[in-house]
Amino acid sequence: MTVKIKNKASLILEYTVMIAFTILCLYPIVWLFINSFKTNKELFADPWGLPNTLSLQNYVDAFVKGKIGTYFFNSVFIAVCVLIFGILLSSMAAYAISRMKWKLSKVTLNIFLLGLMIPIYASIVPLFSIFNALKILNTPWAVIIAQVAGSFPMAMFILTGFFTTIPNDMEEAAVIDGCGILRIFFNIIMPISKSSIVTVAVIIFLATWNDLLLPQILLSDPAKMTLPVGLMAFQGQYTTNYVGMIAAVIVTIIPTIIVYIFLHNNIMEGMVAGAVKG
Amino acid sequence: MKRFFTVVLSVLLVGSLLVACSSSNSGTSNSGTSNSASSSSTEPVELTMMYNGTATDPTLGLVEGVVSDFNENNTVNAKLTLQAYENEQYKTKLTTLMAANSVPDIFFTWELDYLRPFVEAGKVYEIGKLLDADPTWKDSFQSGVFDPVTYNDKVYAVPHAKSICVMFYNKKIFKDNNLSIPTTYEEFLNTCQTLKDKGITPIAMAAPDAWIPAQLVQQIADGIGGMKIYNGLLDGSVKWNDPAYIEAGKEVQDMVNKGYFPDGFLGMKSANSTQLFKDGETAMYFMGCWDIATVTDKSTSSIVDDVGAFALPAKNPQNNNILVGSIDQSLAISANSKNPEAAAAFIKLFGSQKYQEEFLYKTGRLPTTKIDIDKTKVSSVTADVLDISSKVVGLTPWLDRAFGAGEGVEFNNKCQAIVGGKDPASEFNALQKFAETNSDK
Amino acid sequence: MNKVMENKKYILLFVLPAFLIYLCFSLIPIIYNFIISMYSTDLMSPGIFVGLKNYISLFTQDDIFWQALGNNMLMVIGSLIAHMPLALLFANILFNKIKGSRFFQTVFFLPNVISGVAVGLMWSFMYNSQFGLVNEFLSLIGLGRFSQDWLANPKTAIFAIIIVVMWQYVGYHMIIQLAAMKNIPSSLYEAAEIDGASKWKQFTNITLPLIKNVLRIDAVLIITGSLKYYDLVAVMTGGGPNHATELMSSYMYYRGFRTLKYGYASAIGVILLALCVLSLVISNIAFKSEDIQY
Repeated sequence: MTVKIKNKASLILEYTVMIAFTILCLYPIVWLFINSFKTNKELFADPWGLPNTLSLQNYVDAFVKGKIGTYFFNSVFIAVCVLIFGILLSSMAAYAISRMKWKLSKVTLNIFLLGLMIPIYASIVPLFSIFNALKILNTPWAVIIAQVAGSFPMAMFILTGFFTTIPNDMEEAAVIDGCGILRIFFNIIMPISKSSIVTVAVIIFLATWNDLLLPQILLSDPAKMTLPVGLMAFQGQYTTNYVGMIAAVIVTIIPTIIVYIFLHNNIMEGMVAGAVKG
Repeated sequence: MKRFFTVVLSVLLVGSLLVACSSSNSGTSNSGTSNSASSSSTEPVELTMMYNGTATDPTLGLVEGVVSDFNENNTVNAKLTLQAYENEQYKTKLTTLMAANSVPDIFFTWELDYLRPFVEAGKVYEIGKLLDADPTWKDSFQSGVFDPVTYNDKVYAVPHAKSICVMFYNKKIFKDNNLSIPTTYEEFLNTCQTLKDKGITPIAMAAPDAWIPAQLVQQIADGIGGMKIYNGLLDGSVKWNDPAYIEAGKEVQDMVNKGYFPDGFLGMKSANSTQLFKDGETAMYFMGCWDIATVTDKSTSSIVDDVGAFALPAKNPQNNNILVGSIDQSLAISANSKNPEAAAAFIKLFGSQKYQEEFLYKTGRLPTTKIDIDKTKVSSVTADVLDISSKVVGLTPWLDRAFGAGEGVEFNNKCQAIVGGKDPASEFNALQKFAETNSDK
Repeated sequence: MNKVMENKKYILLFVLPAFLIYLCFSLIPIIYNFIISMYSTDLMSPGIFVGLKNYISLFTQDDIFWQALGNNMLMVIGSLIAHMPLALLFANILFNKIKGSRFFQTVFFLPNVISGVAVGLMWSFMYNSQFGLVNEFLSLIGLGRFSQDWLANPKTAIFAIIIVVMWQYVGYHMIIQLAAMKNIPSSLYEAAEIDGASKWKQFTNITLPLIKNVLRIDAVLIITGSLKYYDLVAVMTGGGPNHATELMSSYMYYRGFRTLKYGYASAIGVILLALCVLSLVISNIAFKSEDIQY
């Protein structure tokens, strides 16, 4: 009897803790969303309440004055390029390292994995001067190359881990059928590795989409800025237009939240993969 | 994890090989581009200008006006594009572009040590050559205005405004409370106390932008120590922990403790604190005279006709009329501009009588050229500032301009800490220590 | 088969592009960084070789560097508190299969997919002294006297930021720990249940020892993560007021791209890297020595 009561009490306590933190996670976002429809005056007068009218003026401000649309497009362009190059190059390399037979494969893999502990921020000054020397500073390619290079360690880690689990007989059969290595890779290996590749893609996307420092330093033309840098600029330009800034934040996080709603399993699996399997 | 160390070892080996190849050539040398405008082509010359200003700042509109005038009427077949950035962003942008050797043709700059490293690295076109070649242009400027942008006897920028720090005040509040313009520092403090006792916040202030409290500290220090503490800093005979600076820090801290600044000023955005003055919520506002444009902006200010200005009286009366101030709105040409002559044509237009007058009459910018001022066309606060300006006996440029991004910016940070409650003596001692070690990094 | 899989041409074709990019833009910059750190340079005029002087002056003369280092340490401690005991508590509750477990996981994990800039702005609105919910909430529960400008007060600013870090990443570490727990064979718990062991006993005697290896990796992630934060500080305070919230990363940015002391900034980068490696080595030693006790 007492055990049951005790259990029930602890269950209630557990739920209280979990629900409290749920509110703490979601409420700030909901609060921002509600306030994105208010005027500055309304916000100051009643931060908790609902807006009097459902005006989209702040979103118009964010897009017209804040140029959030341009930043959004730049972010998409950079993220897509990083995804294409990052996934293609890392899966090719991971395949050659884990499936093909050559002497230095282990060493090469280890050199890649070493990058897991190198914070790219630590070498921001040399990156800046290397891109400067290559004359691609202030082009999206500087950010794309840096992000692709930075994505390899984690991508190699996950992909080599997966490729080694693929049974040998699939390739053997393909070789007997006369397939070349390119066809084996693109027609057999890539399709069966879909889940790992999606996982890698999600990690790369989030890292690129959310990054501030690289685009902040490598891009200087306002027309080329990405969303996080653009948000910073908006904050500096319209210091007191809080509601406009709130709308801009909402525009920035909505794509991430949508991606998250559809792919949260892959995202969670991917982002913890490094830790759990290592 | 044994594996980890073998990995480190192998990378170090690879690395040591690479060191040999990637020999350090930090700093791309600048081969001075000296292509002149190709006048034969009919394609207009593309020029870009980087300007420090935000959309909420009334002067940006005037600058845009000059740009479109230039684009329609210039005789050098050029087309100028304006890029405007917010202050903090502008500073970062300019330094990175300088290192990358891709500064636009024309850029806004501050004077003295701000511009110095760029000049010394050969990144700035010597506009003095073009000024010398065009005596009417050069002679249109008042004497001395080029001094802060002259390095090794060569002029590298053209200033288009003079700025001084003044105390803006709300005439209506002063009248309602039987207050007159203070003539001594004592009277100034009494004025603050009187206002405070009546429930009016005396001075608008915002601390997150560190230079705002810093210019007040500097102004009070000038009033205590006079020109010699500024000149002494320059030649090294005065230290950053000079008693005058410490005393000034204590004075401002005292004002904080007595509640002379708005509630929450430590975290207040500067635009919000300016708004307090514009809404008649505070009686005074200490700022560079460029803010005439903002405080008299009819769309945001409810006190347009009630603003006046006075010079903050010195604590030692012999130092009266020594003010924080310098030149402003300086434009320079980048060394890698392909068309310095076309760029100079724009700068010349920017400093022409027409626009010097427009800037003066519409936004209260004090001119750097010799124009006859029509007193009937200026606002009453501009008239006050012109009057203050005519009585100036010495100017000490903002320390973050005179000492650049090192000590100058740190001075601002220390002043920010002092208004936040830190001990002035220990903050300025730390600044002196910083200054002694900063030069050789 | 072997002929195909040993084809040197294809191996090169597959590995070389990735390896070259990685080499040029990850490894060489690290080495290059080390070289620049021994120069005094503004990247505009030729640098002057100064040897280890930048390092010496960082450690012996630069109070702001120590402040930044101290803040990073506070960040490490704060993160370890939130991301070890607190995340473990959450993970353990979910592990005991309460209803809605999937939902809670999804929600708790959400904050760390949002960009640091958006999170930073969001929380600076929360902390805002004029309309922010933090002060509103304090006065709602009768603690209004503690209301203040959280990010402008040098005494509270860094803690206000650490709280955001805790908030943002607790779900991430919870998921890592939960995944580790799920790998434990359930037979162990069934046996313990029969022996009448309490939940707490089960946690300390079965769960903890068996997820120790993952916790070790997680600790490294937490520490290296805490050393790398930049976005939140850049957005919320810019390192101010008067460097009170400066981190190594933001100080590096300030020294390089604002005061033009790029050599000095690179030295900070090298130290940042060294600390990441050091934390890995230390955590290995720490968790190894525990092994002996068992």
